[in-house]
Amino acid sequence: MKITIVDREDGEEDEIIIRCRHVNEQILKLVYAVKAGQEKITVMRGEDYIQIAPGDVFYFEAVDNRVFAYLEKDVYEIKKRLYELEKRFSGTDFFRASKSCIVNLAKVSSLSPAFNGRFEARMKNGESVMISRQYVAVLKEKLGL
Amino acid sequence: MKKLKEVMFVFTWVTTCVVFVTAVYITLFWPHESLSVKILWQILIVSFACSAGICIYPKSQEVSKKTAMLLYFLQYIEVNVIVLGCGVWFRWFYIYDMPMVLGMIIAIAFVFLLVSVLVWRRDKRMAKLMNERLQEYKPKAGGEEDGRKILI
Repeated sequence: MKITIVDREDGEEDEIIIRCRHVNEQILKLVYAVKAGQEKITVMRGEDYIQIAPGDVFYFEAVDNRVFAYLEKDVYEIKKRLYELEKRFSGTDFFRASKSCIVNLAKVSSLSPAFNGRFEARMKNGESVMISRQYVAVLKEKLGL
Repeated sequence: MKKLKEVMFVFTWVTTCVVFVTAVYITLFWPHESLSVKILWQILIVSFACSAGICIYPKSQEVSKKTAMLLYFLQYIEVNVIVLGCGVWFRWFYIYDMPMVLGMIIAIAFVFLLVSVLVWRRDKRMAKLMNERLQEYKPKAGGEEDGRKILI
């Protein structure tokens, strides 16, 4: 698939036009990814609710029935279930890394093998997230392996 | 199916190592013995039983690093029990002959360690491949063509 970016005139709104014969799964995923990138997610900062871009999230983690969004430096609680986030961000850079974690692949700097068939994802902010054995296949698929 | 593939991968390595160790063991402890074809079947049975031991890892359950290490140790114990048990059953050694028993224990440790290293190396190769794909996965800006930026 060829992707072209054309400069727009001043005052024109940014626009994405998809030229294709049929709307297949790949196109749909692209549309979802663009939409997910545009949408904001609501998180809690103390008592306040704020909105953040999903692309800024490094990973989501469930701890004691609460779900947190980890950004480069900040951590916010999010009032969603992990499976809801998994569903919402399917087809995007996010992938399930373990039962308690969803990782943003775009924020992974490197991967290394860990004990017992698991892999460790080193994030761009220096943190490490464990990819459990059963979800390594999901990651491989995402990387086209 | 994936589990079976994993078992077969380990089985191939275990069998190769066991054949090598058996050759050394027979040379050391049974140098003048003429062996029947049974020994080949026995090697295959023991190798398969040891390889199938990886099934003790609970795949559907996530384990901590400590639990993973404990399971690894349990697997080592399991392999020892299988090989020593089969060894007594197949009369590979006499249980009262300490050098023979010690030889078996050393051989088991050697094979177990070697296979663990080989599995680790395979995972490392996979990680390298994944890292290469990860580099490609990252958004990258390309050159310009007819005033349009071509990204992919």
